[in-house]
Amino acid sequence: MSDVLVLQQQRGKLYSDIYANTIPERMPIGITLPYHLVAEYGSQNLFDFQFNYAMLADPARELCAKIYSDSCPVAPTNFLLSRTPSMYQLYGSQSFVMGNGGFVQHPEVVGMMDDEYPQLIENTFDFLVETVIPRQHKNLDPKNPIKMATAIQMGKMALQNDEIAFLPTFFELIQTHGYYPGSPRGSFSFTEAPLDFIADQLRSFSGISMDIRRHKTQLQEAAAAVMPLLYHWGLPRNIHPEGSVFIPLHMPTFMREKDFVEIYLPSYKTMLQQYAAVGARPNMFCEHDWSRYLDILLSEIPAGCKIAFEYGDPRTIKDKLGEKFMITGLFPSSSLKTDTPAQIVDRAKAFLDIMLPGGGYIFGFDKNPLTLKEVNLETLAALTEYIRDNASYENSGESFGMPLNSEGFVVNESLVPKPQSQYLFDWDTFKESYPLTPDFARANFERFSKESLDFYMNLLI
Amino acid sequence: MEKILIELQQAIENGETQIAMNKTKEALNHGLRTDKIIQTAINPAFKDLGQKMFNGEIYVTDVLMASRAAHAAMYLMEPILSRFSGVTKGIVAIGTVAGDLHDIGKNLVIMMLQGSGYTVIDLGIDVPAETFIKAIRMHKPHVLALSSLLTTTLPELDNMMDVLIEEGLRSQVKVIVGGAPVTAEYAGRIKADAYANDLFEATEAVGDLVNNRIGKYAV
Repeated sequence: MSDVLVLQQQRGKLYSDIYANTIPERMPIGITLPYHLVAEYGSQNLFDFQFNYAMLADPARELCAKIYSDSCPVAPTNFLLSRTPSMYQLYGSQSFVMGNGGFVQHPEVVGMMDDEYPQLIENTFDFLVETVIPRQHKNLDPKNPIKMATAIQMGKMALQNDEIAFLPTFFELIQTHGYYPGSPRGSFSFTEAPLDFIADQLRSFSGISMDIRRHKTQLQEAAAAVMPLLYHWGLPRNIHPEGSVFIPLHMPTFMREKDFVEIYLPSYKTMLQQYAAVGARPNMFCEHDWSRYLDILLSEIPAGCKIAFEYGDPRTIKDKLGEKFMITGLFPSSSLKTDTPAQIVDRAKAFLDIMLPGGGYIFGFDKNPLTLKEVNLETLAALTEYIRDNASYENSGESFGMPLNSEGFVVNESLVPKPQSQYLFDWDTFKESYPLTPDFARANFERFSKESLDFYMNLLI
Repeated sequence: MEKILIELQQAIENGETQIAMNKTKEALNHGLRTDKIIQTAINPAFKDLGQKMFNGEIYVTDVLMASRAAHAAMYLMEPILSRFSGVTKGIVAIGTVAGDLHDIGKNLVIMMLQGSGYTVIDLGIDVPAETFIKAIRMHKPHVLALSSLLTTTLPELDNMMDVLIEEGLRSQVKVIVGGAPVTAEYAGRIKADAYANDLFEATEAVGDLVNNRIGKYAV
């Protein structure tokens, strides 16, 4: 077996151990360098690579040679993490727009008026497709069906083109560096918490802030109504311990705890419990400072969830939540700019003294830097090398923390019924029209329908 | 009379727009002057809200509702205020700088300023320098408020300060900057007049700038 393959297996075990609640040989260090930074490192402008991600191949190779990481620091292209502009531009998107600095951004947008809650509650998916999406993506208006069909076809091809452009380089880097390849295909997915979904693309920040006061009951009902749709959208097709359902959480730090408990939490908690019941690990990013919510997280969120924190006191978070959850984040990315290599080593040592003991912490920054100006690469290299050499455990092989679904939640389809819509495939209806269709075709048709659902929902995150 | 003003203040703090409007009408019907209503009910309401937010007793959603209630009260007084331009607190031109499409923070600041009695010229998001310049020449604002939410658009604040000098407008307008990556130190470095960390600070800082005070938000 080649040295690289041995290294890859060793790295794989670091991750598989952690996600099996076994203390690994050492804490893995996996970093992600944003594409804009990679492009700048290659002396490229911030626009061109977003229309040909293969342009990142050379600078990605150079950075991988310079910076230690257990997983590939330059991730494959993905519409959510890369915000591929071609697709959004072809859809005429109002909700994701490229600024003149080369970053696709999300302006405050309103996709639903405050008197439209009944339609959302009554016929969730139809309402999103018929009303919300055309407001957010002007070329997807069913009033102009040919234009809409063409835009969808072109947008899908653009995304596919974007996603495969960097893939050969990604696989090459994994093979040449022996990186952990990531969780198995189909085991990673994403969704939103119901209230965040309603806030983010439907009512806007200002709108939802007022609805919390003016339309509280409707908001509660709407959160309950959209939750099963969001659950099925986020359900990975290949559930695996190393996979997860990524859920960025936006609104709670702007809310009162009382409103959070009454409006935000009930539907979200059910969603998390049902993910835990099927073994899909929720992987939530708590944006901003969640210090005042730590007790609520401890009592209400299922064990074994992975929680990324942005701000907060590492010791308090570790002490309160470290046993029940897997924790990541909190290391200040601003130090990549302000610290010398020696200073960041001191900072990392102090940080690991808090976060390492007992297992359950996976290294992560509070947030990723955006550009090369925010990172001194020598400082970053010193940091990852220090962690590689000093984040070992003396008690590897022992178990730690609480596994996912320690509480024994049971799958309950009545809590998360499959979405029904005239736009989604229904086998029984289809079979009536085409009785000679063999039963084995059903799985394919249902997969196509799920992919169609994902397509529309992906326009709303 | 005092009771009406207390109830108006309370309605604003509770974000009760309709009650705030009713109480404003009552106050006006009783012959109360607009400046008295602003100074005795609206300003104290914001002062209280600021303190409560600082103490973690209320959050942005509450402030938003309060701002709307105050804005509604101000709207009722607008016809009277416009007859006595001296009563108006000042003109603020505000925008998110070029390259940056974020507007939630800016919009909250606008609501606070409007609720506090300022005339606000909202230039929107992704605003190029020439648009700011044009607005300054047209509206002659007391204060130019610049917002940036991205580290990548931060240099545009610096650029904007240079453009103001090049266009000979720097002495005509006070500049306040804010947004997630902006710091007081950065604001000082680019020679802005003030920096604010949140919407209450922004409102207070604008007050200082309009009145030529060197307040605690000066840089």
